[in-house]
Order: sequence, then C-alpha cells, then structure tokens
Amino acid sequence: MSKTNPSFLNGVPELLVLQLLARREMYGYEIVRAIQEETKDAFAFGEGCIYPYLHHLQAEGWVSSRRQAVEGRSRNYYTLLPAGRQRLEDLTREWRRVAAGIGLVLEGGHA
Amino acid sequence: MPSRSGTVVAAVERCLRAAGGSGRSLAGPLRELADHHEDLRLAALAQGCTEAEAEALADARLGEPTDLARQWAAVLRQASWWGRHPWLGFGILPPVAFLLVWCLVGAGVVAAGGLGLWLRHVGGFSAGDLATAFLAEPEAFAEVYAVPAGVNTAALALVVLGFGRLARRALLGPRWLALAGLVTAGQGFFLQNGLEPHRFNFGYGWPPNWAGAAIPLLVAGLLVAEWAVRRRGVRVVAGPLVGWPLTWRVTPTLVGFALLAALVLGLGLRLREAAGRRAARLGWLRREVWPAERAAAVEELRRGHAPITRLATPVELAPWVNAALADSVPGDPAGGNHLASLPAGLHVFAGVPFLIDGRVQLLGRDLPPHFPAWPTRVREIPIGRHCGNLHLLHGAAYSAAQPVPPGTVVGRLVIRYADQSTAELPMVAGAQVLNWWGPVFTTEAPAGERRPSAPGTTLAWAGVNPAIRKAVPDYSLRLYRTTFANPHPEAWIVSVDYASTVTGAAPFLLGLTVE
Repeated sequence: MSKTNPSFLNGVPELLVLQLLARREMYGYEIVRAIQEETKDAFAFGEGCIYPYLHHLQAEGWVSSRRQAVEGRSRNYYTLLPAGRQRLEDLTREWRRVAAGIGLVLEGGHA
Repeated sequence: MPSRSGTVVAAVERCLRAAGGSGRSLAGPLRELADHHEDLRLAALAQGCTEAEAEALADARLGEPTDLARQWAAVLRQASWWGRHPWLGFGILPPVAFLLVWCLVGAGVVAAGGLGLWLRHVGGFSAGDLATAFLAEPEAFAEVYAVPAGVNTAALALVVLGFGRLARRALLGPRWLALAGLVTAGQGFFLQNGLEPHRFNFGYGWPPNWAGAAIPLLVAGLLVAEWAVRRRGVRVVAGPLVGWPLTWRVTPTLVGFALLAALVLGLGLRLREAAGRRAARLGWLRREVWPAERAAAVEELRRGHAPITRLATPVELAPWVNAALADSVPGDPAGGNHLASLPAGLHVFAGVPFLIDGRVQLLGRDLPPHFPAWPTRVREIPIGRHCGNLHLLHGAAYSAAQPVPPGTVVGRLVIRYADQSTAELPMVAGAQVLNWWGPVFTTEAPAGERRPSAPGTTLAWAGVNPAIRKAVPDYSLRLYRTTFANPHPEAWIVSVDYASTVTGAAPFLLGLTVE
C-alpha cells in the first residue's frame, strides 16, 4: 500500500478521530486500531502521528484527556467535547459536500 | 511490565531536544509514544514474533522519527503564545522588554551601588548624608558614572538571552532568536544614556551607539552557534506540520495587533501631515519674520535706554571673576559657548553703567562641579555705602536635562548690613532671569521665553556665539539688567553675596552697580 497524499487528505484524520471519539472515549492506540479496522487499512501512516493530532484537537478545545490506569498500564483517554461535536458536524457536512461533488464527476466520466 | 520505548521514540526525543524542547514539555508526548510503542511490541509478541522482530515491527509502525518530531514540534509551537505570534513576540516585544529589564537591572545596581557607596564614603546610613557627600565631592564617585554603560550591557545581553530561551522553548528555531537579536541591536544602536554629575539622560539619538548594537548581535551569534552545535548530527525538525490543514484564523491577538498597526499608521500619517505644515510655517518664520524682529530688538538695544540713574557706582567684580568672557561654558564639548562678543570695560546697558571684567559663574545642577573654580556662592563683595538700588547685569545658563520651571528661585543676592542683619533678594526664573539662550523675536516665541516678568528687569544685551549659531541659529544670547530696591536704604551696606540655589539654572553675574 502506498503512502497517502497528505495535502489531499487535509482534515481527514481530524474527521476520523472526532468521529471515533463521538462514540466513546478512547486512547491513542485504540484510535489507530479502530481507523485501520474500520477503513480496512485504507490509510497507511506512521501510527505515532496520531498524538500530535490529538494534542492539536485538545489545544483547540475539541477534546479533553485524562490519564487512567488500566490493567497495570497508564492510558491517556480522549473524550469529545461539545465544541468538538460541532466541529465534527461541520467537517462531516463539508466532507459529504466534497464527496458528492467528486461522485458527480465520476458518474459523469462513466456516462 | 516496564515500558520499552524503542529507537524511534529515542530518536524523536533527540530531535525535539535538539530543536529546543525541554523535559517538561516533552514528557507527555514521549510518554504517549512510548506507551504506543509498547502496545505495538506486545501485539507483535502475541502474534508469535521474536523479541527482536517485535521491537523492529513496533519501530516501523510507529513511524519515521523525523516526521513525528516535525509534527510534534508544530503542535508544541502552536501550544505556546510565542509560537503562535512569533513576529509580535520576537519583532515587537524585545524593545519593550529591554526597557523593563533596564529598569530592573538599574534598580538592582543602584541598590547595590548605594550600599557600596555608603560603606565606602559615609560610614553611617543616611540618604541625606550620601547626597551631601556626592554633591560635595562628586569626582570621588567616579565609579558611579560607569553604571549606565554597565546596565546597558547587562540589559541588552539579558534581553537577547531571554528571548533566545523563549524561542528555544517554543521550538521556533534560531531565526526568531536572530530577529530578536537584530531588533535589540537596532534599539541598542540608537540608545543614548549617560550619567554625569547632576545629570542623567536616557533616550535614543545620534551618534550611533556601536557597543549597544554589537552586544545583542554577539550574544545572539553565540546562542545561534550553540544551537547549531546542539543540532549537529540531528535532523532539523522546524517547519510546518506536514498534512496539517493550513488556514488563517482570526484571533483576538491578531485583530488587536491589526487595529494597533492601523492606529499607529493613521497617527503617523496625521503627524507627518502636521509636521509638513509646521515645517513650512517654520521656514517662513525663519526666512522673513524672525530675522526682522531680531534685528529690530538688537537695534533698539544699540540705541540704548534713557539713563535711569546718574548717581550709580559700578562695583569692581574682578576679584570674583572666575571665567573670562571668551571662556566657553564647561561641559560644552564643541566649545564656542561664550560671551566674547560682549564688550568688556565700562559700558551702559539698559540705562545703567556696568564695569565688566568677566563672568562670575556660579554652579547649577548641570554644570560639572568638578571644575573647582565654579562655586555655589561668592561672598562679601564689598559695597561700603548706603544705597537705594542695586543693579545687576546677569544671566543664567539653563540645563537641557534639568527643567527650570518659572517661579524657581535660581539665585540670591544677599545684602549684609553693618548691623549684622541681612536681606535676601531672590532671582526668580521667569521674573528676573531667563535662559541666556533664547528668542529675542516675539512671533511664536514660547510665552515664558519672551521677556522676564519682573518690572525691574529688562533685556540689556543680545548677541551670538559660535555654539548658538550652530545649535539654534534662531536664538540669541540674552543678558538682563535687574534693579533691586534696597529693602533698608537707611542702613549701611557692608557687602553682598551672590549665591546659586543649584537648580537646573547656572546663574552668572557680569556687572553690579549701586546707587
């Protein structure tokens, strides 16, 4: 699998992370696993880069974090905040608009 | 099970530390990376990999260390105010910080220096004693005069060091440190301050202060070099976050900065327009108005006043003269600030004859008191007669640094009578005397500068010297005749004292006549 095009996918990691956190609070490793499983490995990326994204989302006030001990390990759990939910709605709407536009182009090409 | 961070986490840490990241700010990110690495390693072991394979697999899945470090650097930069506003922080704030640091360093030095001087010179704590000791023997406090240069050096270096630390902690890279160094050097280039006896100045001006420019550049250069050495062999992590959605965001700081910039720009344009109008009017006054008014005033003085006394006796001041008419005022580095154009000998000024042998110059706050010839008082100028009036031909050199508000008593004539009593006749700024450098024209002359207000005082002579021609060609040298009525005309006057009150004005006496 080739590396994804970062500039083309601007905003996509944010959308995915917020969407996953909208379901329940998760820690970084869980989020990466969920992305890979649910997208069926559509994205290939260095897994460590999820943390800068999470800290960015936290700095923006969209998620919060808390450290919790689980099975002898200390985990940093991230939770979606109301502002993050609003951001998720905006990103989702934008993504659907773009995807619909791309869909129209693709359908036109096959016509 | 203990966490094993792997080579990738170590490499990320090395890159971030080389970029300036400190232990506290890196602890959280590195811990999460190490936890993730551990999860990956355990998962690989659970799938049957060997320890070495699990370690290598975890490293590979965690990502490229330089990419991770670059992304972390971008996040950490954005997390700090300095990282979000580097132009404001490192381009605008250093001059402000310099003033603050200068005050703090200066206060510390003054406190320490005051203690040292007290121990050395006074021996018992009293601010009054210290001031008295300083005023009586200022040349013994030579070390004090080097203080501003030392404070400048320390403050300039501390500002660059401080902003260097901020740039490093915000992971901004050495270019922002270099900007802070350049801005501080620019400030130091124009910084002018110094301490002389009775005078301290602080401001910006010309000629350039090369040391003030060199110190920040030297400190910034050393910090950048040290930064380069720290980063040797480590890949650079500065730069924007790859794949990050780059959007302009309107923050309160950005809006405030834009409004401030617009305000400053608008104010600057208005000031420039006003300055242009003022310059045009000033040119007209200089070309056409002031020369004519000055010539008329000088012509009126040349024609002379009607004699106001026929029984006057000029007093011989030669024994008390401490400066020739051609002697420049001490402390004027350019020289030429003298009264050489005033005729010596017996002459009538403003209707009163005066015998002029030179200048009896007294001390003001701004005149270097280490010239032993400048006293604060000359005593017992013999009179030896009754008299109704005392006429003075006199002036005062005002300090540029020590304002002399109207109403300030700048000197006194002390009459000593035969019955041991005395009477003091004050010379008040604005009433009996004005600065000897000033306008003799009237149009747009500052209100308090036109003429002394006391009825017994009038302009007696106006002239120029090389210094005033060079510095303020619109102005003239001005001497005044002041007539004091003797408060006890029936009493025999033995002598008079001429005394300075050591203000920003240094009074001088050229002639004394009694009648």
